[in-house]
Amino acid sequence: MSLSPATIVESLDGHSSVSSRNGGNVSDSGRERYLEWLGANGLPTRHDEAWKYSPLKDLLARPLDRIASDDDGLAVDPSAIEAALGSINSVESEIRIVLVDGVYREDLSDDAEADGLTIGSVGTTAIDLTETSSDPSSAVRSRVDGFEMLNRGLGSAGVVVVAGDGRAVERPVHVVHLWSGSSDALLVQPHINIHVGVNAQLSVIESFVAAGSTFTNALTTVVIEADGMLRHYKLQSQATGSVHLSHVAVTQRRGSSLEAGAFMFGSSIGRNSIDVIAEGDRTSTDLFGLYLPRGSQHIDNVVTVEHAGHHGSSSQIYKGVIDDHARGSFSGHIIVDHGTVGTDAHQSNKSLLLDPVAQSDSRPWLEIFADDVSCTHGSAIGQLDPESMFYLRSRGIPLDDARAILVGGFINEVVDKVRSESIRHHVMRLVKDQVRSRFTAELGGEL
Amino acid sequence: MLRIEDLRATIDGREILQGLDLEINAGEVHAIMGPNGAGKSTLSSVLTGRDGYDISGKVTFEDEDLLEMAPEERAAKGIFLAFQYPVEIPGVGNMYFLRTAVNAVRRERGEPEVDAVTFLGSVKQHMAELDMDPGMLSRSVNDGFSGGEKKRNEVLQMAMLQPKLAILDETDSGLDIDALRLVAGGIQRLRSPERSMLIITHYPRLLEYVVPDYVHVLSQGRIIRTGDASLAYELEEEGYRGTEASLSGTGGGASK
Ligand SMILES: Nc1ncnc2c1ncn2[C@@H]1O[C@H](COP(=O)(O)OP(=O)(O)O)[C@@H](O)[C@H]1O
Ligand SMILES: [Mg+2]
Repeated sequence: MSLSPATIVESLDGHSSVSSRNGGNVSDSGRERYLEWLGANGLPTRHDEAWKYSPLKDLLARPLDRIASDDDGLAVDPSAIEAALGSINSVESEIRIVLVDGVYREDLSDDAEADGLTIGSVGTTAIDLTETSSDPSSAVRSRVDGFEMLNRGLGSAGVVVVAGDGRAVERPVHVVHLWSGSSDALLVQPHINIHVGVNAQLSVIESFVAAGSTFTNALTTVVIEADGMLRHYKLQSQATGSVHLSHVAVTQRRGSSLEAGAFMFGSSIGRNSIDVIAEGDRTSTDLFGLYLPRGSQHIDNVVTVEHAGHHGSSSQIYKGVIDDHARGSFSGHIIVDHGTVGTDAHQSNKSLLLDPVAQSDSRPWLEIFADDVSCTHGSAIGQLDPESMFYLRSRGIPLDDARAILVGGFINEVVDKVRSESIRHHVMRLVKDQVRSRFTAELGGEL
Repeated sequence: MLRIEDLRATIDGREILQGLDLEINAGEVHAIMGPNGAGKSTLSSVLTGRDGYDISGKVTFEDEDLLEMAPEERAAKGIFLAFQYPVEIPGVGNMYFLRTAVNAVRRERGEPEVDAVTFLGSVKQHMAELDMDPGMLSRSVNDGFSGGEKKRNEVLQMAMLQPKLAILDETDSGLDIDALRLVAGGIQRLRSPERSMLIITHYPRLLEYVVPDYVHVLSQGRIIRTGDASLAYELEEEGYRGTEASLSGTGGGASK
């Protein structure tokens, strides 16, 4: 039987064959638990609301050479991935963390002790993980799904990034996900575990640049303690032909704030998902994303914010530019728990179709179980505005440039949401490269 | 410079321009007045190349067939339209837009791009003359601008692009007296023996500052009367109805 996500899970029925993953220090009992869950519940099906727009059939049957082992990532000689490393623009004053095939490479990563950060593989003695990785509430949420459990059960041991209480870490952490190339269709499952302490501040950028036809199934778990602040940006520019699934699961405690942006450029099939439980009172959650599928790309965004505390505010702003016969989708889920007061939750999804056969799906999903709530949502799908096109052209701007300027203007609203200036510049550079490759003209905007 | 012969434009099965003739020579300022719905904006749209019209007739600009050209080519040839309703473009910086437009036109004309410092100096000077807040450069194009700010932004673009033929579609509408004086000053400064203007307006006030060589009355898609600057005041007294009535049965169509 050829290997695919579906066959991996089928073989779990008597799961001893795959459950013994080498390396890593996730307690075997933890992995056992996840695999049991997976054996019992399986991978998502068409009936799972959160997977409604994804090409599940293709995902489940996707042929794989094998599951990446820790040896894959560790065996690779630094010189072999120098080229890949060199191709990644660094963010100003970044603390770089390199993962190869999902495995943390300390030898290629920066030291961050002076910055008040603790970084290490799961199980490193210096890191007390009682609060984070083994926190049962973050592991077995009600909305957990099979791909998350596949990562937890058979993925890499993972990297832990801890900003200690009261630490305002100034330099941004840049997690670079590289691919070894040891095998073309490798299942790569990195796990980043971020812990932001009480009143601490941290920025994390995750760049996914896998080549070949890898299948990335990434997981990022986050706890933001009281009054802590995290900025998290996902920059996905994997090769066409690859698959990218990445899930971010966040727990926010009292008074904490989260700014999370996802920029989905690459991969043939891509799914960006984030699930935030705003558990404490007075949390602030600012989520946004941009997706630019073209050709036959299929990019989905699945966003959930659950307000379980009082006086939480959240926004979801997602924009897609969809070209050729590509598909893009956004599902935005807002849950306001029973008994909460003062929630302020907003959601907006706009997409621009550049081709008559391009397809966009947008679905708001609101579950409001409280009375004292201010909640709005809106979605719009349209083409480039002909009035704006005429206005630009009447000023002498050629057709292609006018298109690029309008697309740039549409995109800018999302890029501008990145509050850190140096990171915004970094993102803007990537966005410009993306847009330049499809229009001859420069992208509009101030940068 | 501009010659229009028997111009007809139909949209959604309705003929809006119904055989319009007009000739504008270099250095001349022509005003077009006429009731709402007469086809004034349609004329400006057809001259600048907006999509969606079925057009017949002939329009040449400096002896070239204008109707064959894309909007951006017309701009490069030196035609500029100050829109009656300037378009808001969120996310596109006003400064970036202006510089892109200026350089696109220069490139098309085979001139070198203007450097950032020279450009900025020139924009700032024009903005000062129009009493525009320099902060408007970093805002998105017309986004959230007041009516008057939008009109001034149109005149700013005109000043930067230095067109040969400027068409101003109700640029004076919705301006208070001070703003009108500034905008009129901006228009008057552009006046030169090489440059022509077509000013669409409802009011003689603008024409007090920018005195036209000719005034035309456009009604039901054609020019029904042409006179000198005094015609604007006559119209203000009599209204367009009077003009239409006095000309009914004559076949109209007078132009120079
Ligand atoms: N897209 C359109 N479809 C149908 N009729 C139109 C369209 N645009 C303009 N018109 C009509 O054409 C006529 C002339 O409009 P316009 O040129 O804007 O007049 P003016 O600028 O003189 O007030 C009006 O009756 C208007 O309703
Ligand atoms: Mg009009």
